[in-house]
Amino acid sequence: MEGKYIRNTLFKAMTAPSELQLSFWMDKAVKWGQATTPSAQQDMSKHLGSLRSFLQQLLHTLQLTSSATEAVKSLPFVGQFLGRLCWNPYVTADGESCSLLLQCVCCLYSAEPRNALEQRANDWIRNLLCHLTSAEEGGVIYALERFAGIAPHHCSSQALQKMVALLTEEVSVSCSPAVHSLDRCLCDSIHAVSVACVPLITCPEAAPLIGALLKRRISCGCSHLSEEFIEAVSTALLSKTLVLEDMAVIALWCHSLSSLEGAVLSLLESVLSDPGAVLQRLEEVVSSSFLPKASAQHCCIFLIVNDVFRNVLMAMEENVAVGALIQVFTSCFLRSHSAQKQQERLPLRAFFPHVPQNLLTPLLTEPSEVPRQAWLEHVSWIGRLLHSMSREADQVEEKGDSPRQRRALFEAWFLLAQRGHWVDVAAELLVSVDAEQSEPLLCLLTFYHHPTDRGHQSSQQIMAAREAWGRMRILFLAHTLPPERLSSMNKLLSSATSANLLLRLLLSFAIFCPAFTSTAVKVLQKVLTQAELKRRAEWLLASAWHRLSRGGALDAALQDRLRALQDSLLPEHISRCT
Amino acid sequence: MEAILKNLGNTVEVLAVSQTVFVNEWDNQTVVRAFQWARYCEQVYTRFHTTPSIRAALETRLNQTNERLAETFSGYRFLTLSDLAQCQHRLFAGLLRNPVVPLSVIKSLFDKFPSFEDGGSPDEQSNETDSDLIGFIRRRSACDILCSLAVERKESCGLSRASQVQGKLLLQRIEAVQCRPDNDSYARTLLDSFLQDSGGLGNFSEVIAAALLSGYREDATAQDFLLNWLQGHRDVLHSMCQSLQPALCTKLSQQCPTFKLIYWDSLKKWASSLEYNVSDQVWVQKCSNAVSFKSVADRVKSLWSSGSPLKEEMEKDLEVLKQTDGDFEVHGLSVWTDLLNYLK
Repeated sequence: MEGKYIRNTLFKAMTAPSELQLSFWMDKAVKWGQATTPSAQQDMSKHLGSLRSFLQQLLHTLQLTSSATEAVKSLPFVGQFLGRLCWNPYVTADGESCSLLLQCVCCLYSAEPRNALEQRANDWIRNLLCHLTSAEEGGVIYALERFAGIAPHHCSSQALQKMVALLTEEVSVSCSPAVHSLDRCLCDSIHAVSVACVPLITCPEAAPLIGALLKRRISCGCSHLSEEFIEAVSTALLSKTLVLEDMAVIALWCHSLSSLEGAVLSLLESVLSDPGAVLQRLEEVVSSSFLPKASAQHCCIFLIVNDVFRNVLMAMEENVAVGALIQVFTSCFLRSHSAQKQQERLPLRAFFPHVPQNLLTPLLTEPSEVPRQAWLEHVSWIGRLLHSMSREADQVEEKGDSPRQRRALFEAWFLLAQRGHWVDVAAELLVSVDAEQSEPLLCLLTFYHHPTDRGHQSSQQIMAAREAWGRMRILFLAHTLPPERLSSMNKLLSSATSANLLLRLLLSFAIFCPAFTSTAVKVLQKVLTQAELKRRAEWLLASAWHRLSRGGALDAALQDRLRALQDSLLPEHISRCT
Repeated sequence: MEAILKNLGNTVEVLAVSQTVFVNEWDNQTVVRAFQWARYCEQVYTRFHTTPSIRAALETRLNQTNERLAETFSGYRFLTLSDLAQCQHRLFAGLLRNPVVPLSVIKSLFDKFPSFEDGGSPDEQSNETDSDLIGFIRRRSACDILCSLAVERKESCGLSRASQVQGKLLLQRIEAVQCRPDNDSYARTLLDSFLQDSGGLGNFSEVIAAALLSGYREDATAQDFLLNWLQGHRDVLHSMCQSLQPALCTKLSQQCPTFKLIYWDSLKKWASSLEYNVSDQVWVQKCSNAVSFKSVADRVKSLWSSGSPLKEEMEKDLEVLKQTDGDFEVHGLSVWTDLLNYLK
């Protein structure tokens, strides 16, 4: 019963083309002819996508017919239609359409022709294929193929490469009407070239021409590329069916907002679809997207990418994978930025226009650039600054609404998210400091995890954090582990309003406390009983591993500790076996 | 070596059979094997055709096989060595065209859309998708589309993009053949065949012109060779002078002294064969495919407008001719006077 239902719905999705559709596409095929005029090509570029779908539909229908006679009866002009399209180079230049077209044609071939129609069809098909695949004898192309002493498909490949090289040269000629006053500005023809290139996007030989068309946009403001071209390039880049040089990709992103946004969203998707696997290679994935390097070269690209990130972060608060992605992106960006030549480099202020300078500098510093002894001072400074910004915002808000203040605070928080390893450092330091030193660090953590809490709520959060911190200190430094303490800690974490902050603190203590590993393991096992918390803890431990190993701080002792902690989170029967 | 020659002969025979009635005994396995042999043949060609001694042996065996096959099958078409480079394609096309081929074989050709695995240039990397039929059709269509685009540059002088590309391929081939010494006569033979196969001097002329005007320094030796060959083919040169656009001929004259001499000589010969028709007050040529005064004059003008050094040389020449004719200033008495007046 279910099978039939599924079959029927699939069938509905791919029904035979209607008469209306058939006559629409037949008209188009006739109108397009052999694709020699710019207007025909323009029209075809707009319909290439829907033509592909139609051919898919047609192919499916033809595959279901039992004979050519039946096919011709239900689709009377199918032969003519296919024949016309076979002689349309714009259609046959597109790989997918060409393949679908030829498959359709072959469906009409009868293994055992039962009547004159089928015999004629067979002859026609063989003739068609012959003509499509061979140059005409007595022509220059035929002669050249023979002369060249290589197989026709090599010859055509070389011919295409040279053709592309010729056009690439023509397109790359700069447009300066002052110098070449007699030559018309070629920009009108650039549009025609871009239209002609739409079916060629996935043709590897054509890549240089496509790159040249995109780059021309930078040097000549008046050249106008077709919308369909831009869209096709964008899609092909994301699906990796087209490879372009760096400058061409940057030109595309500067030219088309939607293609840039598409690239960012594609990166997000790849990270969110399998966060566990990607964490290992997060830097590689981010760098290969080319976004950090492009952002370093063009401020506007950086700003737009961050805009997308901001929106995603606001929609998916506390998603650790997104947070990690943003951090890694920012690090890659900063590396690309500093790798640029002095003259070409824009000051970093330009990239972070809404963040006050006194906050920007300390946050943009890498932890590796600050000596370990100075970490406490560095992070405390940041914590105090954020705290005072927060207080200021509260005061202004009491008097009335201040969007500017709120904006500045949000940007500060976003920067903190982009430079999240300072938050990790704060958590690490909290393991070893005393009560007085802990204040700014706790403020920083609270601000990070609860940016929207204002006034009274914010103070409450800090108080709660301070209390939890105090309890954890006692817990991890004790010789024995009183069960009431453990269960109350468990309850605290399960009550969830500050789960992430507390979890981070807890894990920090577990990793960095001077107590025995066995103590830390026992605490984790007793405190983390919920599956969701365990999952998040796993992630946090894994990212701690990566952070420490990248910073070169992962010595043997820490490795052992981390491994033991990770093992403790596994289901019981597994850990017993190891 | 003998083994290779034997295999070559066998493959040629297989190719021949594929185009006769005997192919109806073939099954899919036979087809697969046939394509394998064809690929082998292409590899043999690629490796050995630039070595004169081996090439000679291949040609001898090929001729012997051709003669034997001509006796067996009426209407058999002789294969040349160059044809061997395209063995797989010939097999495919031959099978498609042969009405007697078993239909199961045809279907199998469709089903696989045979990927012509790389039997050609050993230095080229090709994967499945590049060497298959769909890729081939795609690329040709891509060439067609790019050819038809209207972007034009002054430097191209009316040469179509297709001709420019063909010219480059021509030079590339000449260079490839010449990379080994002792291949001059082979290169010449190839050019002769190319001329013959082109079906008309018109198309051929454009390709040659494009080859000579190709601007890359790497092409220089090949261009020299081509010019050398052209000097032995005056008919081609004359055809070029007549059929190519004036601007193109001018450019060629600027580039190649040999061409310039022949071109200028042709123009002078045409001009001197014109007679003045008093009633119509024009210079005409009394013969079948007559050249008009205007066409000659336009060509001369194009040369003239190219500036020095051509302009000075022509002026000197024309003045001398005018003098010899009697140094008239009046219209209608000396074609040289009228030409000079047209130019100035």
